Amino acid sequence: MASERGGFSALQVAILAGALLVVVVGADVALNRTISLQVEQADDWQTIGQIPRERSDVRHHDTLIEVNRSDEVDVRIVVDNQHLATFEASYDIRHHTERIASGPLAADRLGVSEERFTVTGDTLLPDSPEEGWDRSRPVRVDLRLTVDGNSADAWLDVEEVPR
Amino acid sequence: MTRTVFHMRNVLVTIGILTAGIGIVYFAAEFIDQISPWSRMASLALLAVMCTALGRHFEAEEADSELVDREGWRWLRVPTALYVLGLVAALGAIIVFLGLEDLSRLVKAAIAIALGLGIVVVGARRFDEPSADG
Repeated sequence: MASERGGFSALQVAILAGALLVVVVGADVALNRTISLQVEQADDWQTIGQIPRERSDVRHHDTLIEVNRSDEVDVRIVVDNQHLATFEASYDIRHHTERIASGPLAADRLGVSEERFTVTGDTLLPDSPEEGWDRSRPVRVDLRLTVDGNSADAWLDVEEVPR
Repeated sequence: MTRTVFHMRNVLVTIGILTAGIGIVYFAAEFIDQISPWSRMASLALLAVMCTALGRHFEAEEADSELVDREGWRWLRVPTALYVLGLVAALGAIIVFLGLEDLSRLVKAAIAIALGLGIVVVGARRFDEPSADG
Protein backbone atom coordinates (compact mmCIF):
# COMPACT_ATOMS: atom_id res chain seq x y z
CA MET A 1 0.00 0.00 0.00
CA ALA A 2 1.60 3.24 -1.04
CA SER A 3 0.89 6.41 0.85
CA GLU A 4 -1.01 9.25 -0.72
CA ARG A 5 2.13 11.38 -0.84
CA GLY A 6 4.19 8.73 -2.58
CA GLY A 7 6.43 7.87 0.41
CA PHE A 8 6.50 4.78 2.53
CA SER A 9 3.20 3.43 3.74
CA ALA A 10 2.67 2.95 7.48
CA LEU A 11 2.95 -0.81 7.07
CA GLN A 12 6.23 -0.47 5.20
CA VAL A 13 7.57 1.82 7.92
CA ALA A 14 6.59 -0.75 10.56
CA ILE A 15 8.29 -3.58 8.67
CA LEU A 16 11.40 -1.46 8.11
CA ALA A 17 11.56 -0.51 11.80
CA GLY A 18 11.17 -4.15 12.81
CA ALA A 19 13.95 -5.24 10.46
CA LEU A 20 16.23 -2.47 11.73
CA LEU A 21 15.44 -3.50 15.30
CA VAL A 22 16.56 -7.07 14.61
CA VAL A 23 19.74 -5.82 12.91
CA VAL A 24 20.62 -3.39 15.73
CA VAL A 25 20.06 -5.90 18.55
CA GLY A 26 21.68 -8.78 16.66
CA ALA A 27 24.77 -6.77 15.73
CA ASP A 28 25.16 -5.43 19.24
CA VAL A 29 24.89 -8.86 20.84
CA ALA A 30 27.34 -10.29 18.30
CA LEU A 31 29.86 -7.49 18.78
CA ASN A 32 29.65 -7.35 22.55
CA ARG A 33 30.29 -10.99 23.41
CA THR A 34 33.00 -10.08 25.84
CA ILE A 35 34.11 -10.77 29.34
CA SER A 36 35.30 -7.63 31.04
CA LEU A 37 37.10 -6.89 34.24
CA GLN A 38 35.96 -3.60 35.71
CA VAL A 39 36.99 -1.60 38.70
CA GLU A 40 34.97 0.96 40.60
CA GLN A 41 36.23 4.49 40.79
CA ALA A 42 34.25 7.49 41.94
CA ASP A 43 30.92 5.63 41.70
CA ASP A 44 31.69 4.64 38.14
CA TRP A 45 32.88 1.36 36.66
CA GLN A 46 35.87 1.40 34.38
CA THR A 47 36.83 -1.49 32.15
CA ILE A 48 40.45 -2.44 32.77
CA GLY A 49 40.59 -5.75 30.93
CA GLN A 50 38.45 -7.43 28.33
CA ILE A 51 38.38 -10.82 26.60
CA PRO A 52 36.36 -11.29 23.43
CA ARG A 53 34.27 -14.41 23.99
CA GLU A 54 35.12 -16.06 20.71
CA ARG A 55 38.61 -14.83 20.00
CA SER A 56 41.89 -15.43 21.72
CA ASP A 57 43.28 -11.94 21.41
CA VAL A 58 43.15 -9.75 24.44
CA ARG A 59 42.61 -6.06 24.67
CA HIS A 60 44.38 -4.17 27.39
CA HIS A 61 43.25 -1.12 29.23
CA ASP A 62 45.12 0.72 31.88
CA THR A 63 43.64 3.08 34.33
CA LEU A 64 44.80 5.20 37.18
CA ILE A 65 42.73 4.60 40.23
CA GLU A 66 42.98 6.71 43.30
CA VAL A 67 42.24 5.18 46.66
CA ASN A 68 42.82 6.13 50.22
CA ARG A 69 45.35 4.22 52.28
CA SER A 70 44.07 0.71 53.05
CA ASP A 71 41.03 1.53 51.05
CA GLU A 72 39.04 -1.19 49.35
CA VAL A 73 38.37 -1.38 45.68
CA ASP A 74 35.57 -3.32 44.09
CA VAL A 75 36.45 -5.30 41.00
CA ARG A 76 33.66 -6.87 39.04
CA ILE A 77 33.17 -9.20 36.12
CA VAL A 78 30.91 -8.21 33.25
CA VAL A 79 29.94 -10.81 30.68
CA ASP A 80 28.29 -9.62 27.48
CA ASN A 81 27.60 -6.29 29.15
CA GLN A 82 25.84 -8.07 31.99
CA HIS A 83 27.23 -7.73 35.46
CA LEU A 84 27.59 -11.14 37.03
CA ALA A 85 29.83 -10.97 40.03
CA THR A 86 31.68 -8.51 42.19
CA PHE A 87 35.11 -9.38 43.47
CA GLU A 88 36.25 -7.68 46.60
CA ALA A 89 39.76 -6.37 46.32
CA SER A 90 41.64 -4.60 49.04
CA TYR A 91 44.96 -2.89 48.85
CA ASP A 92 47.06 -2.36 51.92
CA ILE A 93 49.22 0.44 50.70
CA ARG A 94 51.42 0.49 53.81
CA HIS A 95 52.45 -3.14 53.47
CA HIS A 96 52.28 -3.29 49.70
CA THR A 97 49.92 -6.20 49.69
CA GLU A 98 46.66 -6.69 47.99
CA ARG A 99 44.02 -9.33 48.08
CA ILE A 100 41.36 -10.36 45.65
CA ALA A 101 38.64 -12.66 46.85
CA SER A 102 36.43 -14.37 44.34
CA GLY A 103 32.74 -13.95 44.77
CA PRO A 104 29.81 -16.03 43.60
CA LEU A 105 29.66 -16.32 39.88
CA ALA A 106 26.86 -17.42 37.59
CA ALA A 107 29.15 -19.85 35.79
CA ASP A 108 26.33 -21.35 33.82
CA ARG A 109 25.91 -18.09 31.94
CA LEU A 110 29.54 -18.33 30.91
CA GLY A 111 29.28 -21.95 29.94
CA VAL A 112 32.37 -22.71 31.99
CA SER A 113 32.86 -24.21 35.40
CA GLU A 114 33.69 -21.91 38.25
CA GLU A 115 37.06 -23.59 38.67
CA ARG A 116 38.08 -22.46 35.21
CA PHE A 117 37.27 -18.87 35.98
CA THR A 118 39.89 -17.13 38.03
CA VAL A 119 40.99 -13.66 38.87
CA THR A 120 44.46 -13.29 40.32
CA GLY A 121 46.35 -10.26 41.39
CA ASP A 122 49.94 -9.36 42.07
CA THR A 123 51.35 -6.15 43.37
CA LEU A 124 54.47 -4.81 41.79
CA LEU A 125 56.34 -3.54 44.80
CA PRO A 126 58.27 -0.29 44.78
CA ASP A 127 62.00 -0.55 44.33
CA SER A 128 62.78 -0.20 48.02
CA PRO A 129 60.02 -1.80 50.09
CA GLU A 130 61.81 -1.18 53.39
CA GLU A 131 61.67 2.52 52.73
CA GLY A 132 57.95 2.38 52.55
CA TRP A 133 55.80 3.42 49.74
CA ASP A 134 57.02 6.35 47.75
CA ARG A 135 53.87 8.40 47.71
CA SER A 136 54.97 10.28 44.67
CA ARG A 137 54.69 7.06 42.69
CA PRO A 138 51.60 4.94 42.21
CA VAL A 139 51.70 1.28 43.14
CA ARG A 140 50.96 -0.91 40.19
CA VAL A 141 48.71 -3.93 40.73
CA ASP A 142 48.67 -6.49 37.97
CA LEU A 143 45.47 -8.41 37.49
CA ARG A 144 44.87 -11.46 35.35
CA LEU A 145 41.41 -12.63 34.41
CA THR A 146 41.34 -16.14 32.99
CA VAL A 147 38.35 -17.83 31.47
CA ASP A 148 38.70 -21.12 29.65
CA GLY A 149 42.33 -20.51 28.85
CA ASN A 150 41.78 -16.97 27.60
CA SER A 151 43.44 -14.40 29.78
CA ALA A 152 43.14 -10.67 30.07
CA ASP A 153 45.98 -8.89 31.76
CA ALA A 154 45.13 -5.57 33.27
CA TRP A 155 46.74 -3.33 35.74
CA LEU A 156 45.77 -0.73 38.24
CA ASP A 157 47.99 2.10 39.27
CA VAL A 158 46.94 2.68 42.85
CA GLU A 159 47.71 6.14 44.07
CA GLU A 160 46.94 7.81 47.34
CA VAL A 161 44.47 10.64 47.18
CA PRO A 162 46.01 13.89 48.50
CA ARG A 163 44.30 14.81 51.73
CA MET B 1 -27.74 -11.30 16.08
CA THR B 2 -26.56 -9.80 19.38
CA ARG B 3 -23.01 -8.55 19.34
CA THR B 4 -20.71 -10.16 21.85
CA VAL B 5 -17.38 -8.97 23.20
CA PHE B 6 -15.74 -12.38 23.09
CA HIS B 7 -15.43 -13.31 19.48
CA MET B 8 -12.38 -14.75 17.77
CA ARG B 9 -11.10 -11.47 16.35
CA ASN B 10 -11.16 -9.60 19.65
CA VAL B 11 -9.68 -12.50 21.59
CA LEU B 12 -6.80 -12.89 19.13
CA VAL B 13 -6.14 -9.14 19.01
CA THR B 14 -6.22 -8.88 22.82
CA ILE B 15 -3.87 -11.84 23.22
CA GLY B 16 -1.53 -10.36 20.63
CA ILE B 17 -1.44 -6.96 22.27
CA LEU B 18 -0.93 -8.42 25.74
CA THR B 19 1.84 -10.67 24.45
CA ALA B 20 3.54 -7.76 22.69
CA GLY B 21 3.21 -5.61 25.81
CA ILE B 22 4.68 -8.31 28.03
CA GLY B 23 7.44 -8.79 25.45
CA ILE B 24 8.34 -5.09 25.53
CA VAL B 25 8.42 -5.07 29.33
CA TYR B 26 10.54 -8.26 29.35
CA PHE B 27 12.85 -6.77 26.72
CA ALA B 28 13.25 -3.59 28.75
CA ALA B 29 13.68 -5.32 32.10
CA GLU B 30 15.60 -8.54 31.43
CA PHE B 31 17.29 -8.58 28.06
CA ILE B 32 18.28 -4.98 27.64
CA ASP B 33 21.27 -5.20 30.00
CA GLN B 34 23.01 -7.40 27.47
CA ILE B 35 23.27 -4.71 24.82
CA SER B 36 25.02 -1.36 24.88
CA PRO B 37 23.16 1.77 26.07
CA TRP B 38 23.00 3.26 22.56
CA SER B 39 21.53 0.05 21.19
CA ARG B 40 19.01 0.00 24.03
CA MET B 41 17.84 3.45 23.09
CA ALA B 42 17.79 2.66 19.36
CA SER B 43 15.91 -0.61 19.83
CA LEU B 44 13.24 0.97 22.05
CA ALA B 45 12.87 3.88 19.64
CA LEU B 46 12.49 1.44 16.73
CA LEU B 47 9.91 -0.49 18.74
CA ALA B 48 8.01 2.77 19.25
CA VAL B 49 8.18 3.55 15.52
CA MET B 50 7.04 0.02 14.65
CA CYS B 51 4.05 0.10 17.02
CA THR B 52 2.90 3.57 16.05
CA ALA B 53 3.30 2.81 12.33
CA LEU B 54 1.21 -0.33 12.78
CA GLY B 55 -1.34 1.75 14.68
CA ARG B 56 -1.44 4.22 11.81
CA HIS B 57 -1.85 1.36 9.36
CA PHE B 58 -4.81 -0.13 11.22
CA GLU B 59 -6.32 3.30 11.78
CA ALA B 60 -6.46 3.75 8.01
CA GLU B 61 -7.66 0.21 7.41
CA GLU B 62 -10.40 -0.37 9.94
CA ALA B 63 -13.78 1.28 10.18
CA ASP B 64 -15.03 -0.36 13.38
CA SER B 65 -12.33 -1.87 15.46
CA GLU B 66 -13.24 -1.42 19.11
CA LEU B 67 -12.18 -4.38 21.23
CA VAL B 68 -14.83 -3.99 23.91
CA ASP B 69 -18.33 -3.05 22.74
CA ARG B 70 -19.33 -1.41 26.00
CA GLU B 71 -20.00 2.15 27.01
CA GLY B 72 -16.77 3.76 28.22
CA TRP B 73 -14.54 1.19 26.52
CA ARG B 74 -15.03 2.14 22.89
CA TRP B 75 -11.75 4.05 22.90
CA LEU B 76 -9.95 0.70 23.19
CA ARG B 77 -9.42 0.00 19.53
CA VAL B 78 -6.64 -1.83 17.76
CA PRO B 79 -4.85 1.40 16.67
CA THR B 80 -5.20 2.85 20.19
CA ALA B 81 -3.69 -0.26 21.76
CA LEU B 82 -0.78 -0.13 19.32
CA TYR B 83 -0.28 3.57 20.03
CA VAL B 84 -0.18 2.81 23.77
CA LEU B 85 2.47 0.13 23.15
CA GLY B 86 4.41 2.66 21.08
CA LEU B 87 4.08 5.21 23.88
CA VAL B 88 5.48 2.74 26.42
CA ALA B 89 8.43 1.96 24.14
CA ALA B 90 9.04 5.66 23.45
CA LEU B 91 9.04 6.48 27.16
CA GLY B 92 11.52 3.65 27.67
CA ALA B 93 13.75 5.05 24.92
CA ILE B 94 13.67 8.51 26.53
CA ILE B 95 14.52 7.08 29.95
CA VAL B 96 17.45 5.14 28.46
CA PHE B 97 18.58 8.25 26.57
CA LEU B 98 18.58 10.34 29.74
CA GLY B 99 20.64 7.63 31.42
CA LEU B 100 23.38 7.64 28.77
CA GLU B 101 26.76 8.40 30.26
CA ASP B 102 28.41 9.40 26.99
CA LEU B 103 26.60 12.74 26.88
CA SER B 104 26.56 15.55 29.40
CA ARG B 105 23.38 16.30 31.30
CA LEU B 106 23.05 19.67 29.60
CA VAL B 107 23.23 18.12 26.13
CA LYS B 108 20.72 15.41 27.08
CA ALA B 109 18.29 17.95 28.52
CA ALA B 110 18.61 20.21 25.45
CA ILE B 111 18.11 17.31 23.03
CA ALA B 112 15.13 15.95 25.00
CA ILE B 113 13.39 19.33 25.11
CA ALA B 114 14.11 20.11 21.44
CA LEU B 115 12.99 16.65 20.35
CA GLY B 116 9.80 16.88 22.39
CA LEU B 117 8.89 20.30 21.02
CA GLY B 118 9.75 19.12 17.50
CA ILE B 119 7.46 16.12 17.84
CA VAL B 120 4.63 18.37 19.11
CA VAL B 121 5.04 20.81 16.20
CA VAL B 122 5.35 18.13 13.52
CA GLY B 123 2.54 16.04 14.99
CA ALA B 124 0.15 18.98 15.28
CA ARG B 125 0.86 20.32 11.79
CA ARG B 126 1.20 17.18 9.71
CA PHE B 127 -1.40 14.85 11.16
CA ASP B 128 -5.06 15.74 10.97
CA GLU B 129 -7.39 15.52 13.92
CA PRO B 130 -9.54 12.38 13.61
CA SER B 131 -13.09 12.97 12.48
CA ALA B 132 -15.97 12.58 14.92
CA ASP B 133 -17.30 9.45 13.22
CA GLY B 134 -14.02 7.73 13.84
